[in-house]
Parts: sequence; C-alpha cells; structure tokens
Amino acid sequence: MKSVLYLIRQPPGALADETTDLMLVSGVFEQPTSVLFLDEGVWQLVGLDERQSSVKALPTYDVDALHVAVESLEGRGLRLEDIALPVCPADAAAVRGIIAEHDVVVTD
Amino acid sequence: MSEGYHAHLPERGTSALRIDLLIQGGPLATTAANNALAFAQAAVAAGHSVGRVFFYKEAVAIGNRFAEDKRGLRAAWLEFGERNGVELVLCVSAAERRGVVERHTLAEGFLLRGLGVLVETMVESDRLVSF
Repeated sequence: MKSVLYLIRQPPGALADETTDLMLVSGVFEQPTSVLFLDEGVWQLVGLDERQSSVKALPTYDVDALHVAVESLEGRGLRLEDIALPVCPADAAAVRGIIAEHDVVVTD
Repeated sequence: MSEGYHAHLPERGTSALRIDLLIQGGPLATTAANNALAFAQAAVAAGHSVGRVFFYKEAVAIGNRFAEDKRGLRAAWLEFGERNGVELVLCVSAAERRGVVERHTLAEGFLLRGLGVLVETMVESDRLVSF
C-alpha cells in the first residue's frame, strides 16, 4: 500500500473541511496516511475545543501521524500547548524529510 | 506553458507513466483547470497516459452544465477526455454541495463518484498531480 501525506496549508473553513473528509476516507481505506499542517494550515489545529471540526476525528479514523511545522506555529504566535490533539512538532529539516518519505503527497 | 511542463517529463518512449490528476481550484477564481489541461495534453504528447481526472471542491463547477463556459474549458476537457479515453470524475458530495446532481445539472460526459475512487486512484496511479 502506498503511503499518503496530506499537506495542509489552508486556514479552517468549508474548503478545508472537504480535505478533512478526504483524509478520513483515506484512513477508512487503511491507506498509511499522514498529515502535515504548514503555513496557514496550523490554524486548523487551534481552538478545536471551541468549534465543530472533523480534524478532531482524524485519530479515530487511523489517521494518527499528525505533524505540525514549528516555524509556522511560532510565526503566528502559537504554541504546541494550544493544540488539543497529539501532534508531532517538525522543524524545517523534518518537514523536508516527511515530504520525501511518502509515496503520494496531496495538497489542499 | 506546455513547453515548460515537457521539461519535467521523460522523453517519448522512455518509461511511460500512468498519470492521474486532482483538480480543486474553481474555474472562476483560479486557473487550476486550465493548467491541469495544459499539463495533461503535454503528458499525453510525451507518451504518457492520463487515467482519471478527479474534480474536487470548487472544481466541480466544470461539470455543471448551467455554469457559463465562456472560454470553452468544459468543452475542452470533454474533448480531451473522449480523445484519450480519460475518465472525468466529479466528487459526488462536493458536487451535491454545489447543486450539481445527476439528470439535472450534471453535464454529459462527467461521472459522479465518491471520495473512495480518489483514494483508489492514488494507489493505482504512477503519479497523482494536484492543481
């Protein structure tokens, strides 16, 4: 089975939710699925307790390899503690490594 | 523009690939569907095959027969699909969300399929290219 990385760079919203739907289907199909939140995409991880978001459901659908770019967080005054999901922080080198190690990369 | 795409593809006859496309940008706000078509034409010209084109998010407007198509983009995709045996698929839920439904607003030549088909495409394809 090919491994798939979803590269999430868009802020939360109806279009972002459609990508989350795709990630959930990926998980249901038992495809090895990872997610990397980058740039404006990091906002999708913030305030998860205060709003409806299917991002919270990702670990339940076996999409549990969640990564966040630390530079994107820091650039927006956010901290890892602001995220109510288990995510792995990734520095610039790690971001390059994550993208390189997946067979398929899907952008949002 | 198509010349630029050629530069990244192997020479004709060397390791032909099955390429599939994911298009998400809408035809009014973005040039995603135009760029994807130019890429697909260049890929076929270079000896590769294009298996399936999956229209998701705002890109499903391409398959709405009532949406204005001043630049002939829908017609161009249909012609490309027919000539090269390429399946043109709209995500059924993204389409429904935007009022594109079978026997009413769906343009002839486009299929409505679930997201599972996109996941299957990722597995079958040699290269999935998103626009």
